[in-house]
Amino acid sequence: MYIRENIRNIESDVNKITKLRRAFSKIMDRLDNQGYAYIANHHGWLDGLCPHGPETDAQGNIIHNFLPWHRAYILKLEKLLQQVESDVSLPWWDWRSKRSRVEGIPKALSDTKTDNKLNPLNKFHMNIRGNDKEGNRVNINRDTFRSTGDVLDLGNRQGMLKFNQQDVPELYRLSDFRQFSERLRIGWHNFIHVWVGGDMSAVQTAAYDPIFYFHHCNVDRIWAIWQTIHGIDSVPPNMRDVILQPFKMTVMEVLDINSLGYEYASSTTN
Amino acid sequence: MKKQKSKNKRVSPKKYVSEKIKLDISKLENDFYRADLIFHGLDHSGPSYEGRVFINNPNANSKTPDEFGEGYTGSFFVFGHGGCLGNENHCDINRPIMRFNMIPNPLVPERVSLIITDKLKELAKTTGEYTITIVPKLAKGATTVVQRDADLENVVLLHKVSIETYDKED
Repeated sequence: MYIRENIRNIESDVNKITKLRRAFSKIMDRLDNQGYAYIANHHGWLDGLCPHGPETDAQGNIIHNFLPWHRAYILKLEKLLQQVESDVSLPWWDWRSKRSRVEGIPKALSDTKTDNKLNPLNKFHMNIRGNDKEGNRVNINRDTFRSTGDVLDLGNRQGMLKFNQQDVPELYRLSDFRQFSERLRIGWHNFIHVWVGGDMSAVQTAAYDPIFYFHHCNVDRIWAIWQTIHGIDSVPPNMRDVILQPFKMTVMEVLDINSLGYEYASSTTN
Repeated sequence: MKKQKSKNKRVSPKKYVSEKIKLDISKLENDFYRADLIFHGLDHSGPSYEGRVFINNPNANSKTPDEFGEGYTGSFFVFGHGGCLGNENHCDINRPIMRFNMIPNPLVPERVSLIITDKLKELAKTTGEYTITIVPKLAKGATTVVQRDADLENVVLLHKVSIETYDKED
């Protein structure tokens, strides 16, 4: 069992942050199916497999795959990181912490350089040539970028999300998985994609920016905490056997994070 | 999906102004403890944006402050796909689900809501008609990452707006 930690704690630990950067660098250099671009393509341009809203299964029933799919997704990236640096794990970025409301994006993710090298947690060079799943030619060759909003908006909009019963404490009170999932997705999740801006603001490019995985790790952490309150298997029965493509896992198989081999550190840093 | 021939990076997105919604709350059987403003069939195929929502202020624009007195009643956030990279009809939401992998179409329009209880109760003292204005504010950098076909003027596309009131806990 390994532990996922708050990026604010990792960034002050030279050993941990160095290993994490090295792991990202190594997989970013790979062009095969063990590489960063291959994973990013699942969400983005070439594959476009991510669910970002209610969908219907083969019988026409509504399913909410947003949380299970992204759990399997960031786990796949984490496994690749661990193949090249065995004792790293994916940290989360707590965007609603006091520190984020003052400093915005953590320095570990926003510094453009570290030790005179490009910081792999800050950007990724997209060099995408291929065909999407319907045979259309794709050719993109540039760095990812962010156009972050005003840091004050992190606090201002948190107040608004709270008023609209979409802030995290209000979400924990919801016992219905569908309501919880939808309010988390439409509220904080969407807001952070819009606020970070640049490539993070488009479904097709978001996952090429490394910050995507730290953002979704926090989304996954919030779901894991909700599960400790309302039950690990608190999902509608018609969701449980749904296959999360392309991970070859069902929703049922990703419900228990301990069975997936990880847990979240309980202490956080403001 | 509407096609544009080239990217227009200086386009200001148009606001959405609803038809008048008639709701006389004095005729409701019970007092309500909550009221929601619901946006049905919201499109998310284009750029990401914040939808700033105003009630009974059809003149609201990008310079109108987010203040209760201006009719501001909250925002919703759309995480947009950024347009379509494919050929004509590639992102047509009515295209059939592929037979062998059953991947649902990710562009099915969605439903979002805002809680407007206090605002509605205040306005209801003087009117029974409500106009909803959505002033979109594009995500920074969104115009750079969208595909060539993305319509940057008409970003707020939806089927209808409704007001729902609740007179008991669900």
